[in-house]
Amino acid sequence: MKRQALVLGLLVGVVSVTTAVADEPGVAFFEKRIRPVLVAHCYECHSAEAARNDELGGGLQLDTRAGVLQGGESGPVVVPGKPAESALVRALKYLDAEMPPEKPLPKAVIADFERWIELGVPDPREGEPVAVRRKGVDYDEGRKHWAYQPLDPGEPPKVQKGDWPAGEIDRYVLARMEEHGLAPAVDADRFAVVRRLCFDLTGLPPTPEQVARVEKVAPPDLPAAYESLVDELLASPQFGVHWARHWLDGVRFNPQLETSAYYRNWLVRAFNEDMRYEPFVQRQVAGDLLEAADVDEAAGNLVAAQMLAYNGREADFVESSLEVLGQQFLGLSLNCAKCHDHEFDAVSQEDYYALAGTLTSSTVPKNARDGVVIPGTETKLLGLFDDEPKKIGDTYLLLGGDRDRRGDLVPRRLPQVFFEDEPPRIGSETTSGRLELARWLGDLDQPLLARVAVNRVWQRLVGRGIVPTPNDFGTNGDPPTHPRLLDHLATRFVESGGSTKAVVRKIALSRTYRLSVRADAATVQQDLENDWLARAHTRRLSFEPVMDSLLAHAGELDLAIPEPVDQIKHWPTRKRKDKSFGGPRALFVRDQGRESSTFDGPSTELIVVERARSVTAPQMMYLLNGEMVRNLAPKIAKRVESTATSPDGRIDAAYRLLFARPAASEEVELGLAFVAEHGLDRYVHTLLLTNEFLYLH
Amino acid sequence: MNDFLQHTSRRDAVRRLACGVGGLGLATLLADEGLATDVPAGRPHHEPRAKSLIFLNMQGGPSQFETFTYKPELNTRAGQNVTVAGARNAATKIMPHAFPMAQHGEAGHWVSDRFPHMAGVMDELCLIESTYAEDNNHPGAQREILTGFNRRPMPCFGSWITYGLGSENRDLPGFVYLANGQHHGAGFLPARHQGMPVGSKMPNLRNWVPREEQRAQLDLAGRLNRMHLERHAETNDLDARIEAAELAFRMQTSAPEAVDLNRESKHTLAAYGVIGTKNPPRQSRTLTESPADFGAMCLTARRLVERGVRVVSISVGGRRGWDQHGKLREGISRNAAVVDRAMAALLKDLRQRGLLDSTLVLWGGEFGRTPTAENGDGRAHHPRGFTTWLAGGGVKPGFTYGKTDELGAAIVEDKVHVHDLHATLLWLMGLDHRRLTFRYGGRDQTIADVHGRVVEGIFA
Repeated sequence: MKRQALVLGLLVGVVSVTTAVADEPGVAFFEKRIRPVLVAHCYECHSAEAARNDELGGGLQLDTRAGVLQGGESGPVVVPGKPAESALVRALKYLDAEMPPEKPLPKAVIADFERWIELGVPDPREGEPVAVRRKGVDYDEGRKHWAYQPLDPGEPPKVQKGDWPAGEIDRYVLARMEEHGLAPAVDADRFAVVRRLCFDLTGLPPTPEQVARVEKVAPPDLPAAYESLVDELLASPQFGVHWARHWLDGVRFNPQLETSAYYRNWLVRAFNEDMRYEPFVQRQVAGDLLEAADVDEAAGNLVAAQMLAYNGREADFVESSLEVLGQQFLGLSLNCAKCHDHEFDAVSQEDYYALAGTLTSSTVPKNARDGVVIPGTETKLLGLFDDEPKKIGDTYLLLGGDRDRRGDLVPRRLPQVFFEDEPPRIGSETTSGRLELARWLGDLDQPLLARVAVNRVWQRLVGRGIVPTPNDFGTNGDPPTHPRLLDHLATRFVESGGSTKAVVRKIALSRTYRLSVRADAATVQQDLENDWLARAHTRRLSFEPVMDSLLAHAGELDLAIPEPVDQIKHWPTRKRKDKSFGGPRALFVRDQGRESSTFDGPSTELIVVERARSVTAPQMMYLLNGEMVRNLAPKIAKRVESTATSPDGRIDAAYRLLFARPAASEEVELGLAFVAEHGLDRYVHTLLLTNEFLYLH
Repeated sequence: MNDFLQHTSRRDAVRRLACGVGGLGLATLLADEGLATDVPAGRPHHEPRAKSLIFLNMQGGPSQFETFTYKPELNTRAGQNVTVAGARNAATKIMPHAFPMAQHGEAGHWVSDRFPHMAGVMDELCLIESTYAEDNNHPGAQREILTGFNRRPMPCFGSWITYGLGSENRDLPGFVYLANGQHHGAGFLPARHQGMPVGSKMPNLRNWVPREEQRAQLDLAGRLNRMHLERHAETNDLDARIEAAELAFRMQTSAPEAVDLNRESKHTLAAYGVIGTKNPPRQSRTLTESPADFGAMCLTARRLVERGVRVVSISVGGRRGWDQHGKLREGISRNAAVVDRAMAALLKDLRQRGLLDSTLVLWGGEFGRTPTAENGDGRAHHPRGFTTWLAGGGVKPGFTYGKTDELGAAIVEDKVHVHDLHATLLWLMGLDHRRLTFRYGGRDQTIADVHGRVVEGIFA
């Protein structure tokens, strides 16, 4: 490089620089062997023109000598004289990066590049690379995305079929149907509705009493009967058990870790007490830093702060925590910006490391012994705590997310896309900034938070979110099928102060929720995916309701909510010491067994947006031959036997117990014939093999 | 219907005729398996080199230097300080080969003295010295080697293969795993393509009630399902469930037969080490399996392949089996004693039965180890240039592809990214990974996203 500069210096003013340098053998080599290859294979993405078109790859411009020497985002690409150490050569050989991406250049050409670097990178091309180091994030453009806009429910729309809607939700839904030339299906029968409500609100099948109660109601009184059932279910402690499980799926909960039962039970209680959404969020992000009214609340806050400690990925705690925070609360994949600016959303690497600083300033004790004591108890918790002042401070941006390549120190602040002006700084020399982060995340004035929250409730009750990608409200996620409805629900949610139960109630009492799964062929044909909700989605029961149902039908399900301290002392199981089956609800069982994966059960290492609903032979084998089924089916048969004395009465009783409806006459006939030949035990077992047992219709 | 498909399905078709399901055309049988609807082409994209694949997945990341890769400079420069790019917690001192290495066979492949049985079959192997993974920790890297991606729960390559080709045996799943079943799921692909546990790991296989009675149960359940379907016409899930029930029913007889090793001769059992082997004492980070366990899995894999199962995955190690951060000599000695005999027996047995030409065997872990020492006598994780091998179906025997530098620290020639490996496996099975797509999340997904190069250099 020095030599080159000297040559240039000597010759300036005598003849034209280019010509003079071209006389050098190295430059001739470049002109003949290197430049044509660069032009043909590299300039498209690595040139000033590409930079101007916003198509520059990796910040690398290969169309000037200065650009080659400057390198790209990941550092220099050539070490003059040392081809083996030059990233350019390694990329051409497809060793690290793979360039050109279509296919590797011929070996002879790569050898030319090695020779060129050996010669000291002779290159007569003048000029400076265009000053674009990184593409950068266009926040103003990003902010225009629908999800960041203020809530705008508009007026509930006018509809043609004015006698159909039972409430505001239905008007929004019907309007979209009518726009697409669709009409709503008939209402599901009362038994199907009761079964849906019980499973959706509590994760449990209806009891025969609940079925009998609704059976006697005159048609005009049905809505009132549903209403009282919904209120009964919302008031049941089993509501919290079921909805806590939904929440745990989103935060990558690992039940195997010490004291995790405390956080789980805190969630059950939060849902049962209908904790308002703002404190619910804030306590989970920074419970340890919030002021509490009394010892009880302080204890709860500390427990809530375990959320991130239990998110199951110790190795990259900061990344996995931001992943959970972003997706669960904001529907935003913040973690995409760890290594590079977000490809789709207005989240820059600076935004990522500005938040990361709050977490690097917080610590999770290595084990519960070092944890923080819950006030009023002797129990120590893991959890995310601000307790080590020496660690507090901003953190470095890591180029390419690589911990060995530090960039600048990034001041802690909130993400830019949410603010038109400078985003607020958070934290100080003595505080992590997690408290400010929690207050901002848990603030319903921020429309995204409410939208994401109500969309999850809709997803759980209807079968698919209004935004079908509940963890991605960004530009790469699916847009809402019913944007006004989403904003309507979010607005009501905010008005209620963030009451989850109020949203559940509203949706469960809509006529949309009560639609039959069956629609005429033309409707199905026109809307295969059921985007416009002219009918209900058919849904397979998830793992826990399958387990809980089997136990409940056999009278072996213990509905008590075990205290955390007892769960830790005696981990609850479904199988007793005497090999019979029975126990608490699946939520509290520590070892879920193989049947968990057979029925797409919970994950300890993934954020689960929606449980898979696979249909497989092993599921059938479980229901045909599984030990628990073998143990419980005869018990279920005994219960059926004890409730009715006549043979057809027993068939009917079996249907009421297992399917929450009376048996039709044809079904009674089939059942009688089967029982006569194979007995009641086999018959009851056979009903467990049917689709009706495993699906919500 | 192309010739290949007719040819490979003939045995199956003949067997079906013998079973009295005659009269059904092949198309009907395919429709039966749901292939008619969910495979884009319904057949391979090109003439396959292999019909089946066995993956011997060495969980924990086996050291290439104590198995199949010889770097003399490790010994001559032992103790010198070097930096290994891409390795996490890389220590700095070069650690020599823990065991003597020697060349075997005509091709002169190197192998450590811990693998005396493998030494006899080295000419079957096509070694890849330059395998490259992104992730450097076990959970992500295991996911990556099985699915191509270290974060998202994507379909396992076995699922992609059965999605593309279906099963050759109607009574067994097309994609089977015999040990650890993690990351063998179908992801967004239709659920029937997920890996299924068969063999001793398969739960609930023994029918509870007598078979005739069970038939009556399924008939009644089927009838009730159809009545129910008429009232609630929706979703092919319900159809899929009827299919699943029938497969479950058939598997109760076909699977126990397929995995019943009592049908094998004493000679074969001994060759695989199912009988006559001792279990060397376990240490903290070694394989949990015994030589007899692993032998039984390899033998079962051969029986399954014989019966037309497409993909058999054997993921051994109890997650950390080959993770020798310390006590490497002891750890690898035990592990080699567990796997050496059975792996060699499997290759020989497949060869003798004429199955090796149509069966691809893949050996490897989620990454390799550093040339440098850790904790004195261990090696750290190193995903940027580790050794895997292929044998059989369509690959060059006695061949080495790719090269790392003189220390085995960095790839210097012909990198084979995990995406490339997957693309190559699919290609050998007759599938073009770029054309084998599934619409999900608003785009046409493939096994290697936009990546994946077919490594033609290893083709026979």
